[in-house]
Amino acid sequence: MQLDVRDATLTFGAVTVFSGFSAHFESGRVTALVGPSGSGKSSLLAAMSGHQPLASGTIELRAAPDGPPTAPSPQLVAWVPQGSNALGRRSVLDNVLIAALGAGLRLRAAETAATEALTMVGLADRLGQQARKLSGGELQRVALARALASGKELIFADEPSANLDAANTDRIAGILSRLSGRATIVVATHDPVLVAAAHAAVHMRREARHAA
Amino acid sequence: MQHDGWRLGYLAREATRNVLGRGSRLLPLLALAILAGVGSSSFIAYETVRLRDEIAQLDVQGQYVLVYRSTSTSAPAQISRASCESLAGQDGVRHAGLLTPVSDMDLLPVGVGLPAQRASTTLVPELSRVDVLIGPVLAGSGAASADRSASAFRVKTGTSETATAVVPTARPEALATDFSVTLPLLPADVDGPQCVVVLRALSDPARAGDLHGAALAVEGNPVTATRPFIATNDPVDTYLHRPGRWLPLLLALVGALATGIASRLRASEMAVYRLSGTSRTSVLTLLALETLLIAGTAGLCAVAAALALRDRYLDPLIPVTWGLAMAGVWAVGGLLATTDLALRRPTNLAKDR
Repeated sequence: MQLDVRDATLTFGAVTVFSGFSAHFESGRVTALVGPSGSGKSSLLAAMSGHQPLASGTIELRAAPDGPPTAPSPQLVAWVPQGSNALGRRSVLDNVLIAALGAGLRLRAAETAATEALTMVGLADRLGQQARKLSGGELQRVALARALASGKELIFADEPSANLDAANTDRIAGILSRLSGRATIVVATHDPVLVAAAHAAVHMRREARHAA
Repeated sequence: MQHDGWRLGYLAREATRNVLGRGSRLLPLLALAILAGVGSSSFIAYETVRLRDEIAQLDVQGQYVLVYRSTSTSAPAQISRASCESLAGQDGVRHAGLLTPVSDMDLLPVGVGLPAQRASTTLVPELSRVDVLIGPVLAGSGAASADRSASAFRVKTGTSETATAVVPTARPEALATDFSVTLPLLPADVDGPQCVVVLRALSDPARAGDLHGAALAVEGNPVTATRPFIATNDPVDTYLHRPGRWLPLLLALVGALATGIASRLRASEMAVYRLSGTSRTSVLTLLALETLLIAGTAGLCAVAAALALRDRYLDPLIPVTWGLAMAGVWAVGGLLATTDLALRRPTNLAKDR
């Protein structure tokens, strides 16, 4: 699934987050979305996943380069949020299972998909553990596994290495690299380790915050 | 409307695990639902028992007794025994019959010069199986006191004849059975100056007075119904208008509020569902199922407690209805209090801790 953003402008009331922004995100590759704080990286991810409407411009998704465009929709995107969101009282497996069940798999198939995803991120030995007992880095990997188990072709990760130490950041970068080819991955980040692990980088700049 | 791949059965499984799972944040809410359900039915039972106690007390004081006698004290009326006793079969009447004072009598070992009266067996049914009733007040001072709670015992009248006696349970004071010796009417007693009617508890004595008076066959002066005791308060009216009757709905509102608060504490968990592709509709369904599970537990507990305490209610359907109303208000209120979690942007929800 490839993504094209053309002349996109996003505003919150009188505040312009970004304007006239264009970018192309290659299918099956990891693209780093780089820019200073406040440049609108998270807002662009929200717009590309259909959570946030643009003031102007277009965002088009295509399954094939010459295929028909479709509009962004939250149901097409798996999102790896900033921070360590999880169903804290539920098991690690359950935390990933919900993504597979939400994708329409039956329970047995969903359990298989969730287990495979957790194995891929190195948490196969933690399936039955309560999520709240995991470290921040492990929770970030659970979020990645959830995105994988959803089977979605678009994965957006918002600052996935925020608050992680160097070892965990390297681990996340390694996982993202291994995921290339399985999905189109966009990673909003400041982190040079993650930028280096990506196939491409798209830069955003900070706008003047207030419209005239 | 957004769609995803969630099946309703899996959402129900998810809701059950979120509510009942080990260490669930919603377990305290479930405990509250159980307490509210049991508490609602128990409170109604407690209030009904209190009402019954008040009514029983009023009954003993004579609230439900009507005495028909002449309108003039100087010219007594003669009321036909048959017409008076036939009132005992009327709707809303517990006992009815003639009650006639007679001269004092000696009764050994109870005492001498005891106040005595004769009554219809339809008014004092114990007189159909024993010869004499000895009022508890009289029995308390004599040898018969040892047999107060026992069955019939033997006494001697002043003429040395033996008779079977019993100490009756508490009766309305207007019947004077507590402090008199009561004997059955003689076959020759075909009429008497006063007819006593004991109504069923919760009857309206004012309405019953004219109704039953019209059925009496009277000679001499006309008769009128008098009430030996009129309560200054109406416990039934007090019961029907008690503020406590709203407790189940108050508990439901507290439950709904608690559900809303508990859900807000789980905002970041809802974000996990939304950010992994779960639609607003499915999240709303999940929240609805969780709320229904909790509110339904409250309703079920109310029904179970109502069944366990069914003998204590005027009608077991009353606590069941209140319990179901509580569950309904809880479910609707709880869902309204959590709906915005499904509607807010998931990226904002994710920032809530």
